[in-house]
Amino acid sequence: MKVFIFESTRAVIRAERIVRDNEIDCKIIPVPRSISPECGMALEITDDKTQTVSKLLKKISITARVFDRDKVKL
Amino acid sequence: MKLNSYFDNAATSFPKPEAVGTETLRYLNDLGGPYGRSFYGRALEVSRTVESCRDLLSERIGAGKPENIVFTANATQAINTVLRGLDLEGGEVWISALEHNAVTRPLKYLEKTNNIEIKYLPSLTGGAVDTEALGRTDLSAASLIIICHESNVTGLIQPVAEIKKAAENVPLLLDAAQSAGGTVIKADEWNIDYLAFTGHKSLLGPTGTGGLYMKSSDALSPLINGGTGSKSDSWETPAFLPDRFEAGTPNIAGIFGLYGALKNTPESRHSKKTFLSLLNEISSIAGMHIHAAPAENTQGEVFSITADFASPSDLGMALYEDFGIETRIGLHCAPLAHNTINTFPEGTVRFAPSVYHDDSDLYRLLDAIIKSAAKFKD
Repeated sequence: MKVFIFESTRAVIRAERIVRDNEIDCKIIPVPRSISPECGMALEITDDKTQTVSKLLKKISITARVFDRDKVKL
Repeated sequence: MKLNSYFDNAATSFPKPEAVGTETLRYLNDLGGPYGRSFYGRALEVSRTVESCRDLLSERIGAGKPENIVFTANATQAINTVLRGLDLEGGEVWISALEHNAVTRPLKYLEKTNNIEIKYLPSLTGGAVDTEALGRTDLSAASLIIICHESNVTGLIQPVAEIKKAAENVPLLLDAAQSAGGTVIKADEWNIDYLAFTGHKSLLGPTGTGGLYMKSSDALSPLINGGTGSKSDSWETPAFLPDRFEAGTPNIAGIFGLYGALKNTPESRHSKKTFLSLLNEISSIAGMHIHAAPAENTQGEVFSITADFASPSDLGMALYEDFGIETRIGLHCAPLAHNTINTFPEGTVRFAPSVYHDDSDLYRLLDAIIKSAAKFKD
């Protein structure tokens, strides 16, 4: 699993929308405390979809930081 | 059928699309929760709706970057965000002859506190900016131009694209309080730098909603600073949009209502032809004067009247008492505009129909005005 984190609420919502529009499963989780002091949302995506999601986000000019889910603490 | 008697839509629109109430109550009664700031489903759904509203607004005003629209409480707050956020110290601010107090009062304040100079753009009779003369005007010391897109007194729509072309590189703030939702706006195509709008007039949303579009926010400081749910470890408000100008919890209930309005905007029940013929008929009443745009293609759906035989207050009261017609009498928070059209200080009686008025409502309004005029003349 990978965790995608974003700089703003709008960016998360746009990311979630394009991911779901492309029929990719995702889960909204809290931003892991070990990687960011943000109090908002992050996207959890399966490993096999990471590249596809990254490409989709690039297409809509959204920047995300990506982390291995098992290496971060919620 | 009962007359739709409410002709004060330039103050605030009524009725609203049913979805305005439905969406507002969906938030207040069923959904609740914050915009951003957490991860649970309620917060996600609220955030989705707020962002969908922002997307719909960007389509409505012809702005390609929705994140460059920030929510405000109203157009006045949006205008103040620009006027207080730019460094205007000692500079010239050029305005049209039809500006509202939402512009002139903050400018008068800045005249005292920041030594700005208020200058008036060349204008034609009726207050339209004279774009030919503007091309010959020395704007080398101009820091900002402000244009009231649609006059809230006469309905005159300014030639914004031509003004921006003539003014070349001077930043332009468009006050679209009256026009947004009722008149075509092409913010990017017209190269508008800042655009202030309200949600509760022609956009048909609730009061307490509005926004500011910025082509670029680089030159602007935020009006307020505070929590945004982002970059929470920093002492500074984030530099990115929209967060930079949205400190504090927004009016989520209002934004839900505005979203409902934008998703369900009805077609006008009356034709432009009927509206324009109403103006022609009123102007032919002896002793009555119509204050409207000089040409049909620059006429928005607001106009005023005065009469030789009655004061605006007498005329407005008669229309209300005899026919139930609700209008706004006086200066409409736009003394500068009334100076321009020579109706200061008495003002006018203002009429502003909405998309909910059908042709028969406009005919009955005309009938009421004719009968009221006859009564005063008797």
